Amino acid sequence: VRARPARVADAPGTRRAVAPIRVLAAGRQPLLREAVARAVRQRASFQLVAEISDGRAALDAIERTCPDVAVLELRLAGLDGARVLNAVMRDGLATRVLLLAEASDADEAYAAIAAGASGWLSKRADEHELCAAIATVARGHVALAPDVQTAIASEIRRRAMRREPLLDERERSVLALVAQGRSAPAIARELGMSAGSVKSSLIRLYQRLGVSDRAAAVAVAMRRGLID
Amino acid sequence: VCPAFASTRTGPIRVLLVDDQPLFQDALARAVRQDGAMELVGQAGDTRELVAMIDRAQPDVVLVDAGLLDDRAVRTARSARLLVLSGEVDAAEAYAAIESGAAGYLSKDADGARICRAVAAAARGETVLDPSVQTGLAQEIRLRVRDPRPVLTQREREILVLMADGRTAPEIAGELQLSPATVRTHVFHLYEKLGVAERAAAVAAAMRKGLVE
Repeated sequence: VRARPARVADAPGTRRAVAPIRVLAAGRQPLLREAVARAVRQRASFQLVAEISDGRAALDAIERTCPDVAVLELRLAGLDGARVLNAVMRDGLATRVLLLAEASDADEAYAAIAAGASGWLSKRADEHELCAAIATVARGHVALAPDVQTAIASEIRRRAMRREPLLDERERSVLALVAQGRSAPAIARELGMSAGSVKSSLIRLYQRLGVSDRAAAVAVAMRRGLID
Repeated sequence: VCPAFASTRTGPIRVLLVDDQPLFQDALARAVRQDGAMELVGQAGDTRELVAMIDRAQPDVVLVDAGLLDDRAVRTARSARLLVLSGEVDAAEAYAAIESGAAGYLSKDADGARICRAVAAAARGETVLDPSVQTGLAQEIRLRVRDPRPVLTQREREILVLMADGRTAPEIAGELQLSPATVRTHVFHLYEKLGVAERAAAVAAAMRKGLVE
């Protein structure tokens, strides 16, 4: 996984022309899509890079123009928003995805956040909320609409009933050996795994821990008490 | 969420405060009293008497400091909606609070009006998450979700994409400037990872798993 290039942090006192946030808008409903595009165009701090109706074209445009934020209607023709999100995350694209969905789709929000979505807005959001969410997401934060917070909390509680350990036995063993400074091949030998599956399991761990290298993975895991 | 609970309530929202910081507790009490839609039905500095207080005061919403929160407190508050206020916003703490049934998690940096809006939302059966905790909470969610899909190498991905475009193994070898034997090896690994024995099935499995579009 390529680490996404961080947007310039809002360091106080740095004098620097602030580049506009580049936004792509994709939606199946023409009126909604136009409204999003109009809202983006009206803000000096935003720049609209594309306005697209179809999911596959949206993914192509994201790959080509690498916008800071892609505002995607969840129900897109061609490739739906969740699949576009999946491709963006899988391919390590730097674009952050803000999904725009019907209130009734809220039960899909947990999975979307788990898959790497940076935000979820209800179509009930007004222009002000939309623009605030775009700015939040561009800064690398997550923006969740109020109605979706309840849905996410319900899913968290549902999952609590079948609570699993954060790391399974194999993941903990791999990470503990990483913490001892062992290389992937050494870990593979020690645990009787193939080097490939050690690497795969490390990549998955990095994704879940939200880090991009082994030292950071160890730091997060130790802070969380996942390994000692 | 409990819509029946929300719809059967009439009159002001009954609010109970539990906080060990006297200044904050006073300010919070003032904010609640000033809100016409709410009634302050009790205040406490700890959760020792929480069960008795809830039985006596019958609050709709309990505002409680995160530092005073334990599993027992959350369980005993079940009849009311528990809104957690935290001085030091922490995503793992927020996740645990929501997981054990809290109706929301807010920073103590929020002003009175925002806290009162959150109380009203909690009374309606909604969940309220502080904006400052949403990023961390998303990370907590990602930490808990296992991705069962195989991890492909860059090469395997390239070959898979070409296979999905209908290219044959020799064409793929030409395009990627690899020997046919090397391509065969990668294809074999792909089949193994996808649990298939043939290219059409490989493409189908990869598409279903979201490994290629």
